[in-house]
Amino acid sequence: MKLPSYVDSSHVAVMSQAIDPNATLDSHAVFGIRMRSSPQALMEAVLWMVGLAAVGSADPTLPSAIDLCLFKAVGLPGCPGCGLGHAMGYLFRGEWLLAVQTHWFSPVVLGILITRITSLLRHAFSERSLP
Amino acid sequence: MSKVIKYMPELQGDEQLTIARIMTEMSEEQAEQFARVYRERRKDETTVLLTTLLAFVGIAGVNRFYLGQAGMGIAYLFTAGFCLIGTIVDIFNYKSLTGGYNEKQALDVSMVIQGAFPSQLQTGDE
Repeated sequence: MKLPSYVDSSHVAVMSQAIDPNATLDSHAVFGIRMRSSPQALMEAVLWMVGLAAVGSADPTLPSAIDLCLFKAVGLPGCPGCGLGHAMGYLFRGEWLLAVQTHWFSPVVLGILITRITSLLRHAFSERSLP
Repeated sequence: MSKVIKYMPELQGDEQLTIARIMTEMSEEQAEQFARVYRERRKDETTVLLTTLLAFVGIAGVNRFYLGQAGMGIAYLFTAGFCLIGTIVDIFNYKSLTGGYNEKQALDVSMVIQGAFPSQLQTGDE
């Protein structure tokens, strides 16, 4: 029995085997449900991609044209996220050392965001659909 | 719709419709077991909103941890929610973030319930 990728097949199989060894498992039609692909997941994925494209395409060597930091906007000196945009710009140009010097956490953040975008896109275009 | 009102009367709106759809084909026993497990797993959207607001006192990303997104939680925590921009986006999106999480849990639970409590129709046809 072929299971779709999002199913933890081992769990369901173990449970059904324990109850009834002859039980068949048609997970493509569990209770006749097919989940719809999620427009919210696609929206969030697009949001992160647009954000990354925006900070990645801006020239990191220039001073900031606009300051997006809301902590600075209310008069505080800055926040732990400041410099991340410039660091992403350096990362997109392959300047790893400069990126880490601008914001120490930027390579990890880039990795996390790529992981999140991948998982959101996989979810958004998965087979499950709800009538 | 009647089963969702009988077994999970606290649900409202889109979530109620989703669960009603999932419960349609279930037997009474399956619906009862589903409600019990799903109630334990689902997350409350008000809690998601409140944890998002913690960013304004310096602790960003608690909402992402709460929804099982440890990676995004760490990214938010160490960058103050991307200078609060990510936090603002999460405040607007807290319903769909919670809804997406709950929908996935509901589907997973329905799979487990079908495995653990097979209905007569699905097992007696060999």
